Order: sequence, then structure tokens, then C-alpha cells
Amino acid sequence: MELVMLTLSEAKGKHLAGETLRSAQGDVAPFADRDSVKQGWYLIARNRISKIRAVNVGLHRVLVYRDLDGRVHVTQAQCAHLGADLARGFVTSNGLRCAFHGWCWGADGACTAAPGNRSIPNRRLRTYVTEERIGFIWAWLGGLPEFPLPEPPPWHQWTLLPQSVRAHPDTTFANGFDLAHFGPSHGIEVKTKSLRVDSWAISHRIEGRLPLRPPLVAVGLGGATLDATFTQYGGGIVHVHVQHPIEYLIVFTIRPDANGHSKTQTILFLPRRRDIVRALALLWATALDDIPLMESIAWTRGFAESDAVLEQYVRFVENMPQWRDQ
Amino acid sequence: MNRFANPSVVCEGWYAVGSARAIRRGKIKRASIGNREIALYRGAVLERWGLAWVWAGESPAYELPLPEPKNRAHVLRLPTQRIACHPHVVLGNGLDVTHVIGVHRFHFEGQPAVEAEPPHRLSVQVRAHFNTTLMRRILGLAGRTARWRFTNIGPSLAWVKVESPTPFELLWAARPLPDGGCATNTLFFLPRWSALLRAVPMMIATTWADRRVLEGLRFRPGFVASDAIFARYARLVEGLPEWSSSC
Repeated sequence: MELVMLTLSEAKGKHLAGETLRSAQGDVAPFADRDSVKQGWYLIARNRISKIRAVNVGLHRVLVYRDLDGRVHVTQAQCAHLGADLARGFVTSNGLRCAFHGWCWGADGACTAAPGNRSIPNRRLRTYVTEERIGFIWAWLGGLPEFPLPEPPPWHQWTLLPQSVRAHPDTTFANGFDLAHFGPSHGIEVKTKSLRVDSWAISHRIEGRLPLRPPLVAVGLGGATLDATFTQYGGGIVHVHVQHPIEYLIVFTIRPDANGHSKTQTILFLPRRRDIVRALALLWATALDDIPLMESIAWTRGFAESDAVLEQYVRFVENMPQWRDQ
Repeated sequence: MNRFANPSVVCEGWYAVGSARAIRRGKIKRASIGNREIALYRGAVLERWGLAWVWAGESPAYELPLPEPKNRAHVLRLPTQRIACHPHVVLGNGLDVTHVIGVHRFHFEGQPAVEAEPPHRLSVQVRAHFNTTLMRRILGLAGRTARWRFTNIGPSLAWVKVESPTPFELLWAARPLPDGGCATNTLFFLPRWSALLRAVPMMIATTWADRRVLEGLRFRPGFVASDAIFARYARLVEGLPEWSSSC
């Protein structure tokens, strides 16, 4: 994927054009819309699954299972016959077997068995492009992937515990692009260094000075300069590349749950293992300490001049195509 | 399909709305059929077998089924159950002959015979052999052959007449709930109490595994040739009048 460097006004113009085009296709949804899920790569499950598991993605459900050859597949969760829940089925040599009528579905989604029928019906189960990487199973929720799954650098990996945030994924991710909140919420005065936008990614580089808060002072980061780039890829992944005061990458993933809230997973990648304490302190001070605030937001479009980047971000999100599971 | 398994539509038919005893003389009790609320009071409901029955519609187009006199000696009513599945699908499941092999692990001896009495009844006559499982050994059903007739009546009733291994009858009433699921009432009609020893295991063997499947179902009418009987019931429901609560 190629990112394009644009000024704020250029970015705005580009997005307005894209917005008009996609709106005509009718596959976009408003920001923080509870009923819609944006297309993109989503973290579906840890790769230690041993059996069939259904996962809620917004109001939809997908199924993840490992076949007898050990390959992982993500498919629609309801049988393409009468709609039975395939999570109650079995993995067989014939594919995924529905517990209701015994219909089987191959890895490509084709029906491989339909007991009681002379010929195999021309039905397909929707399957999703799936990747197993960094200990997780990822799926592109949409048609064919519009970009490859972003690859983190080969650094030391720290996987934090998954978290539930009672806020819509759009609102949760927007936090990194909301320049005006860094001062009041985190005590960091920042400015935008660059903003890059294309159809599937938005990248925002910020510069600022960290506050003299005890957790940061304790690890020697109080008052240090901060240089970080927030990049969102599709609907489900944000990479935060912190260049200064220590270099590391934070991978934030979000999947909407059935209530429209965020199921998040945070993974850190550090060039030097010994930086983990400072990385966690910085993560806490810049991203996690305002979760209670996020959980109480009732989203409105009250943009002011200081919200220029956030406004661009909202346009970017609204311009992304929705995923439909049918 | 507009009516079958549509949670916003209630078709005309008989609905069991709870225990008749719960409706006290001179009092009004509230109940729901689908997403419509109704007021129940003595005189406005039909009381039979301990249940209060309401005809959703202007005047009944058919009567409640009457079991054979010999089976009416004893009636057992099970507590109301809630199933997170539309009642049309729950009742249609009895006519879905292709699911029995996988879900219930028994096989048919001969082709199930279908009989229709339009516009309200559709029956299937079944002769089936129970495969042996540990539970069926314990329940005394392993390796036995059973014969029964499963009749769906309108949008809300299923009547099962078992001829062997022990004669008894069973009436299921399913009422749609506002959340899209259903409340079911089960009535056993027995010639003698000892028939329960076979009747209950048979009911367990033929319905127990269904609940798990039905509660995970997001029904879509993707019928194929092997679903012919089930599809026919869906068409029967499609042809029933919709209850307009203003009548």
C-alpha cells in the first residue's frame, strides 16, 4: 500500500471526492454506527484454538476453525442451508459438518455433502481470507483484501491482556487522531507534523512534550519529547510507531462486539527488551488513562477549528466500505 | 417468505397463553402473542387441559385436536418452556425428516408418508428405528422401532400420536414471544400412568438434541428437495391469514 503525503486541505478535497463516489455505491455508514462494520483486517482469535469457535463482529458472527490438516479458516457462522449455527457442528475430513442436517462445507466454502439429496446443492458458505500471524488469527472481513495484513517489525513481542471498552470502535480509534484531547486528557501539548491519507489508511504523525507525571518521571520519561505516528489500516488495526523517547511499535486491534462496543487487543513490539517498563508507562500515559472518558462519550459532530485532524479522520472512516456478511 | 418464521407477523390460530388457573375470576391478566399484548379474563379464553387458549383471529377456523378417548385417561402438563427460536421453526422441525439421522441418530424404516388436510393440517407418518446409545440403553429405547404420526395444525400446534412402542399422544403448543423466541407447552395424553415410562424417554430421544440446534438457528428458507415436507409446512403457514389484533 502506498501512502500519499497530503496537506490538510488536499486531504479534505480528496476525501470529499471519494465520499461522493462511495456514497453513490451505497456501501458507507456514518461514524460510530452501531449496526455497521468497516471492511479490513480484524483479529478474530488467538491461534491456540483447538475446536470450532464463533466470534461476534458487531451484529454479525463469524466462525473460526482449524481443519484436520491444521489450517485455519474463517467463515460465516450460519449454515448456508437453513441457517443453523455451525459452531455446534464438527470438523470432519469432508470439511465443516453442520449438526442440523449434516451438510458439509469445504475450505473454499463449497458444499461437499448434503445427506438426503441426490446431487450436491449449489450452495456456498461465505469464507474469508485468513492469516495466522504473531500468535493470532486474522481475517479480512470483506471481499478480497484491498491491502496485505500490516507486518510488524521482527522485534520482541509483548502481548497484553485483551480488554473490553464500552465505546464504539470508531470512537476508541479516533482518540489517536484527536489532537485537541492530548493536552486536557494526557497533559501532552502536541502538534501535527504530517497527515497522510488514502482509501484504506490514515497516518498522523505528532510531536510534543511528555508531562511531568509521576509514572513517567519514575521511568525517566517526564518532560521528554514525544514523536509518534498513528496509522490506521482499514477498520480494525492501528499501529502506533513511537520514535522518541524510545522506539517501539504498539499494535492496537479492535473488533466490535454484539453491543457495538470495542474488544481490544494490544501488542507491543520493542527493539530492546529492557525498554518494556518505559514502553508500558508511556502507553498508559498516552493511550489507556482516558478509557473511562471514552466510555462516556455520546458522539456528536461538534467539530471546531482545533478538531481539523479528527474531522479528517471521521471522513476517512465514513468513507471506508462496510462489510456485509451476506 | 412473508409469514413463516417472521417475528413481526402473527398468524391466525390457537395459542396457549399459560395456566388457566392463573386467570382469576374477575381479574385481568396480561399476556402476549408475538409483539402484541392481550388482556385475558375468564370467559374470554377457552380452558382445556389446565391451559388457557386464545384464538388469535375473529372466529376459530378449526378446533383444538382431541386425543383418542383411550388416551385421555391421564393428562400430564409440563411446565412452560422458552426456546430462543421462532415457533414456526420449532414446530416445523417435527416435519423436517432429514435432520433426524444426524441430530437424533435414528433411521427410518420405509419412506415417511405425508398427508395434507389443507388449509390447516400437514402430517407425516413415521416408522423409525432408534440407534443404540448409552442413554437409550438406560432409557430402554435402544434398538427399538417406533411408529408415530406427527401433525402440524396451523401456526402454533403440533400433535403427535405414538402407536408403538407404547401408545400415547402429545400436544405441543408454541406461542411467539416479543423477542422472536417462543413459549412452548407440552401435554402428554396417556392411557395409563405407566405409559410415561416409555413416553418421556421417547420425547427426550426425539426432541432433546433439537433445542441446542434450534436455539443457534438464524432461519433462512434455503429449502432443497430433501426439505420438501418442511417446505410444505412453510407454505401452509404462508397461506394462513395474518392476525389483525384490531379485529
